Amino acid sequence: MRIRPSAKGVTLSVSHPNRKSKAVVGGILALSSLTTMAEVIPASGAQQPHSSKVGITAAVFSSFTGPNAPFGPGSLAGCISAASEINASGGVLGHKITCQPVDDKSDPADAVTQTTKMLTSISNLSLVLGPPGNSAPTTSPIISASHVPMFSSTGTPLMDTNKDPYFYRIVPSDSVTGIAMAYWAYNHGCKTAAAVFDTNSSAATVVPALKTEYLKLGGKLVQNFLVVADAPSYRSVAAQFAGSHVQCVFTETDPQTAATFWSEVLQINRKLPPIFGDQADLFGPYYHAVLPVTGNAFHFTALSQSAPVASIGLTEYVKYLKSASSQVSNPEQYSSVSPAIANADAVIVAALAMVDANSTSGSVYRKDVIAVTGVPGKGRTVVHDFAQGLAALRAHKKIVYVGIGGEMVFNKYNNSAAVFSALRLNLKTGSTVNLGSVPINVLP
Amino acid sequence: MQYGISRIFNISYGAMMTVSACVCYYVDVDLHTNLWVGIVSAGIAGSVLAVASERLLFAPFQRRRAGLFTLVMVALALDAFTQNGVIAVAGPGYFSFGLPPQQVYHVLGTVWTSLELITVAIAVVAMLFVHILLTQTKLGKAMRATAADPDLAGSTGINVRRTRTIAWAISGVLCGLGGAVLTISTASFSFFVGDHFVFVLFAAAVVGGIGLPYGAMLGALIIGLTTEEVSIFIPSLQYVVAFAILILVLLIRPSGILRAGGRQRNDVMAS
Repeated sequence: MRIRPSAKGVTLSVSHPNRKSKAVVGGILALSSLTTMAEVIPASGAQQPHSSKVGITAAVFSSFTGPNAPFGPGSLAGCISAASEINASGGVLGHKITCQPVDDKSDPADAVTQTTKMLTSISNLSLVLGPPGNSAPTTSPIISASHVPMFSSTGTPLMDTNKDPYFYRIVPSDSVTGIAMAYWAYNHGCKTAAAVFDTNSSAATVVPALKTEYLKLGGKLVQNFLVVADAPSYRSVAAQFAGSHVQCVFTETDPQTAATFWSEVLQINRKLPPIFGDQADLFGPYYHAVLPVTGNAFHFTALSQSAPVASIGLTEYVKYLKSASSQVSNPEQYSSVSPAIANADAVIVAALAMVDANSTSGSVYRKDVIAVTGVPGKGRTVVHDFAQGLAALRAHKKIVYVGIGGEMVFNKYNNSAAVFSALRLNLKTGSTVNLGSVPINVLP
Repeated sequence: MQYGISRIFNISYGAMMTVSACVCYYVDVDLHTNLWVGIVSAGIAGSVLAVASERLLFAPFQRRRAGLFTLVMVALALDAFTQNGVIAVAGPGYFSFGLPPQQVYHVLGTVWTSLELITVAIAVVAMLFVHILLTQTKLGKAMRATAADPDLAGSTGINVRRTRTIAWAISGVLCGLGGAVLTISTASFSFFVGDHFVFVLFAAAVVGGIGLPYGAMLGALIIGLTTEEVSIFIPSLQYVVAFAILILVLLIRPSGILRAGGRQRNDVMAS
C-alpha cells in the first residue's frame, strides 16, 4: 500500500489490488471517516436540551484510578448528593440531573483523551466538575470550545490568572494553600518544621509559597524532602527526618507513600510530630491507608477551603449523600470532606445559574454563575440550598448562594477566594473538627 | 531463571506481584489468619498465575514460533488485563496490613526492625533454595540443560515442557513471595504497587545479566543499595540514578555484569 500526492490531493494506492484488499481499505477509510465525524460533531453542536425535558448530565472529571484515585469518589459523592437534592425539587427547569464519572487515570496524557471522549460520548453534558490536577491548562480549552462550564478543583497556579469564561476554580490555588499552611502552623507554636512531599503531589506549587511565608514569619524549615511516590521504602529519608527533631511537618503525598514513610519514621522514633496537610489529604482512602499503620501517633490537621458550615444546606447535603451509595463506597465518609463539599456546592451553583438564565445551555448560563454567588449584600436574598434558591428566583428575587462550605466568591479570574479552615482529623471516625480559620487578610 | 529456560521476557510480573499481595491481604486480614499463612498463600497464588499464563497463553504463542517482540507485547497485554481485572473486581483503593510497631535492633551502627530482618531472612532462604535447586538436584540439571539447548535436552530424555512449567511455577512462587513481602514492608499498597516496582525489578535483572539467577541477585543488591544511598542526598532522584547505573553497566558490559562477553548462557548457568 502506498500514499502518494496527486493533482487531486493525496491518493492511496494498493499494490496488486484485489477485491478483498479494496474492501479492507474501504472499510478502514469508512471507519476513519466515522471516527473523524464523531470527534467533530460535538465540538460544533452544543448538545444542550432546550425544548425536550430530557435529563442533563454533570461529568465528574476526576481521578478514579492511579495515584490520585482518592479524589474521584469524593467528588462523585458530592455531585450525586447535590443532584439528588436538585431532582427532589423537580430538577433544573424540569430536567433531571445525573452525575457521570470520567476517569483521567491520574495521568495528564490520558486526561486529554478522556476529555475528547467525554465530550463525544456524554449526551446533554451541561457542566463538568473538573478538569483535575495538572491537566487543567491543557484540557480546559477543549471543554471550553464545546461551551460547557467547568468547576475545577485544580490547585495549579497556572490558572491563577485564568481568562477562560467557562472555567471556574472552586478551590484555592496551591500557592495560597502553602501560605495558609505556613501561617496556621507558625501561629500555633511550630517554629521549626520539615516538608515532606512526593513527586506526584503539588510540591512544585505548594512548597515555594509555603517556604517563603514560613521564613517571613520567622520559622525555620529544617528539611525539605521531595520523595519518589510509591517507592518500596523510604528508610534513609525516614532516618534523616527522624534525626531532624522538628516541631511539625508540612506534607502532601499519596496514601501509599504516606503510609510507608510515616510507618518507617515511627519504627525509628516511636512518635510523630504534628502534621499539617491540605485538603487533598482529607479523602477517605488517605486515612484508611495511613491510620492502620500509624494509629494514635498521627496528629493531622488539614488547611482547607469549604469547611462545612452549619446550615440547612449542610443538612440537605448529608441527607442526600446516602443516594450515592450505589456508586460510591460508604458515601457518608464525605459528610465533612471539603473537596466533596466544594463539588456539591458547584453543582447547586450551576443549577441555580441555569434557573436564573432560564437555560441549561452553557454559553447562556455561565454568566449567571457570578450572579448567584458572591458576598451577601443589600437587595440579595441569601439562600442555603437549591430549593430555597429556586423559590427565590421564581419570586424574581436576586439571590446569593451561601452553601454547604459557606460563601463562594469568584474574582475576576473566576478563582474562588474564601476562608481557609484548619480541620483536625478524628482518628476514629475519619470526620474532621473545625479548629478555626486563617484570617482572610493574610491570604493574597 | 524463567527467562533463561523459556526465553520469554515476562514483564507481567508486576501484576502477578499485585495479585499475590492481594491474596496475602485477603488471607491475613479478611480471613483473620496468621501473616505467615498469608505469605505462603501469596506464593501459591503467584505460582498458579505463572503456570496458568505459561500453559494457556505463552506456550501457544511459542508453538506458533512467535518472536521476542510479540511475546513481550503478549506479556504487556497480560499485565494490563490482570491489573485492570483486579481493579474491576475489587475496585480502586488502598490496603493496610496494620501491623503493630516492630521490635528495633541496633546492629553495627545500623537500625533494623524485626520485619526487615524477616524480609532479609526470606530473601536469603529463597536465594539458597534457588542455588541448591540449580546445583544439587536432578531437576536443576534438567533446567540448566533445557536453558542451554532445549532440543538436545529433549533428545536426552528430559521432559522439556514439564521442566519449563516447573521453572515458571518456581518463578511464580518467588514473585508471589516478593509481592507479599513488598506490600507488608510498604505498610499500605494500591493495585499499582507491582507495576511501580517492576521497572526496578527488571533493571536489577538486566544489570546482573538477564537469564542468570545469580545475576538477578547481584543486580538487586546493586540497584537496591544504590537507590537507598542516593535517597539520602537527593530523594527525588533515587530511581534516576538506578537507571543511570543500568545504562552505564550496559555500555561497559552489554550482557550484564555476570554474563561474560562472548560466552553463552549455558556456560554461565552451568558454572
